[in-house]
Amino acid sequence: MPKGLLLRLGFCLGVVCFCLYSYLNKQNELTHLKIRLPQLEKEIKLIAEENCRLQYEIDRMENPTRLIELAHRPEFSNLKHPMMKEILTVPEGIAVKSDSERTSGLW
Amino acid sequence: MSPLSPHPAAWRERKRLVTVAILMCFLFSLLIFRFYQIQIVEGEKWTKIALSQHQMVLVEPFRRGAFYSNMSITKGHSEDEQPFVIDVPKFHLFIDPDSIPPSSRKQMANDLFKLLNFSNELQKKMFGEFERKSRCRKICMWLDREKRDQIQQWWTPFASREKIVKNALFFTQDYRRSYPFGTLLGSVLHTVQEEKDPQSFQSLPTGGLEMVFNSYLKGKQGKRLMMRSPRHPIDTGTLVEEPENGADVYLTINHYLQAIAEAELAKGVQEVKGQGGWAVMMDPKNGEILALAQMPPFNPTRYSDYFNNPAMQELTRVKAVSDCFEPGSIFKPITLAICMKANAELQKAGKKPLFSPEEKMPTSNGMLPGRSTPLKDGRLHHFLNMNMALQKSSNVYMGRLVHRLISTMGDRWYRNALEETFGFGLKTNIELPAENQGLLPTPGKLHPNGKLEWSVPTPYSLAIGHNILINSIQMVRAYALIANGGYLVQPHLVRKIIRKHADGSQETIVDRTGALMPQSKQVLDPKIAQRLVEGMKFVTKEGGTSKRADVMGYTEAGKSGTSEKIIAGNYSKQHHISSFLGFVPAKNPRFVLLVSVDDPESKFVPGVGKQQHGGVCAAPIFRQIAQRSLQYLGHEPDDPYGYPPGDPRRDARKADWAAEVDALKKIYLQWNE
Repeated sequence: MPKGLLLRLGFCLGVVCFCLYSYLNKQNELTHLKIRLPQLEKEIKLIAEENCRLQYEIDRMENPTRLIELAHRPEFSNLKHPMMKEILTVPEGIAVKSDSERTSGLW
Repeated sequence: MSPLSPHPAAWRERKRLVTVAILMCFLFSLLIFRFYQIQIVEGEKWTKIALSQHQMVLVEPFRRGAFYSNMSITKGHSEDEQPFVIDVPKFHLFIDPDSIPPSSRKQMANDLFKLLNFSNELQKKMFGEFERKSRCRKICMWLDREKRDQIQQWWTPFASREKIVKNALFFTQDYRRSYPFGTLLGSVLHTVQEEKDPQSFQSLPTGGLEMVFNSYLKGKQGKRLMMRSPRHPIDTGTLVEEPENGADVYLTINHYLQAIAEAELAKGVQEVKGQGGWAVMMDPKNGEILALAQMPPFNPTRYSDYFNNPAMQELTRVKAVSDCFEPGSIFKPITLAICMKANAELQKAGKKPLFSPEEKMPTSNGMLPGRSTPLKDGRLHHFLNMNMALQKSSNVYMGRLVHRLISTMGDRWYRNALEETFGFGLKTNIELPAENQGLLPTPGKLHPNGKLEWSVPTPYSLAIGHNILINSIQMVRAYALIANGGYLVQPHLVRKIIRKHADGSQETIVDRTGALMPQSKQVLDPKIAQRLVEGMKFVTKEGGTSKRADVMGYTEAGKSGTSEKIIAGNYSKQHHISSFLGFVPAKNPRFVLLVSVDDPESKFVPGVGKQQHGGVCAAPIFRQIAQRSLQYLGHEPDDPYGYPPGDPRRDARKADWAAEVDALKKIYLQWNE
């Protein structure tokens, strides 16, 4: 058998084996992910529930009735609601642009 | 013997062999046929039966829609969504008594009850559940995750030690209505019952907005498939149908304004020792209700206490909507509006108008046709004009004016104007249950007791807000009409309803965020509205009946009123409903606010007056709510020098309406000295 043919056959077999290996490896990875998926789903659900519970706790802390009581304390007597003219709203586009300019050293 | 001639014995054997083979083939084909029948023809049926034996369908709970605060009332406020009520995940604890060996039941029950902190009485009751012949008994509802984890930590080693299947104790997840702001807006929101409907698994609302928007708030249960095996915990399995959460309702009410209204109302009612009270704040431009407070409040988490106690049942109602009352003097601006409307009609027809607001009208004699007793004022005034009549809350002026009105336009015109212009006697269709449309008397119509609704003196009673029953929302809308230049807006509580899907998309079901005033009918000339506002500005200034309603730093217009409560069918001299209704600022108002105090203590306060009068007990509550609400809204003071005489911040030359008040005082003294 000519040496060249053997080489070509060997190369082809090598490529086929590599492709097969890659395919099986990918399948294994997918199976691995599929196994992890329900676990992750459960974790996400738990985090979402915890998030909801924490939000509830935060809302309880920020109960306006409680905030009003706090505002009556002497230590917070300096706080007041701002007047409309005192509130400056910076459009989002300008704020983002200014931020990028500052990080690029222009500021 | 020839090989071709078969041996008789071998032939017989071969024949038997063939017969057996054929028989076997036949039986095998029967088997194949049966296989075909089971697997192909009846495949679905048997698959279904097998699955039902090995799997079970569990219900996956959905999240009921939430109510959100109005966060868009002004700029500079947080845009984050602020819920009034949310569904928090909780757990119900169940046991499977059939799977628990009798020898382990007592120990298990004792340990479990200890963890759940059950009282002795409850322990006795619940132990009965362990003895029942059942696969599923509920032991405890609404446990939080920490408690569930604590029970599971105890259960796992206990179950293996006592050799009990793990699923003999299990939890199901559910969502519980939770109120981060406690009783805030309780009577408007209401709640849902602890136990859900056993058929539909839907929550059962107890009233309020929960009931009105139940069709939007309720979602759809999901389905989870689980293998029937003690090794598979209840919360595992495949989700075959995603639960569909309920739609969220975005209210017009702002949580902070509501808190201000509730806090000030509670303080005010307590000060005057009232039975209760309510406050309604509405945006006059679009009819959005910004706050709807009520005292004493309804606590949704203790709803059964309210419904089981007859004395507390009335607190479950939104009194501003479900209760109607005689408005008293807060109705006087309405009388003037109707008379000015009649003026305009008469002038249009080329006739002489009824009156001029500046006209000097005699008010010393209150005797009017059909009345057995004359109308009286708080003190005798010989002559008044419209501004003075509002300032002094004159009954005689209103009676005299209405006498001219019905003499010229007729009873029917007067009655129709009250209904068509202000919507009295008709439901406002606000989104709350059990709205009371009140009673606007009709000429010729009989009461259930056989008496005529409208008799000769009725118009004079109507002129001062008697003989008419209205709910608070109707009254606030009538003032909104004056405040916004004559537009009859639709009071409403909901801005939008949005359904959020699992994929993150949103579907807007209802959207009322657009300005509603242009869609509203203009029923009053803006000039009439403007003239009334000018008159109502005298009420809270020097010489007026409601100086205590003067909002420091801001202009305001309003009117106080006191009406006798009807108890057992008779007017009571001891029990009153005292109100103040007005709007701030007087020009381009931010909101209309009604404050009503139910049955304040009747007594004389030296230097102030009778405490049961609206200008004494309800006016200060109005001032406090209005001032703090305007500050919260970031509204610039439009009367920075408008403080009461004696206050160092006051500048009489610059204070709004000070010159007009002085001028009116001079005329009053000229006419009445």
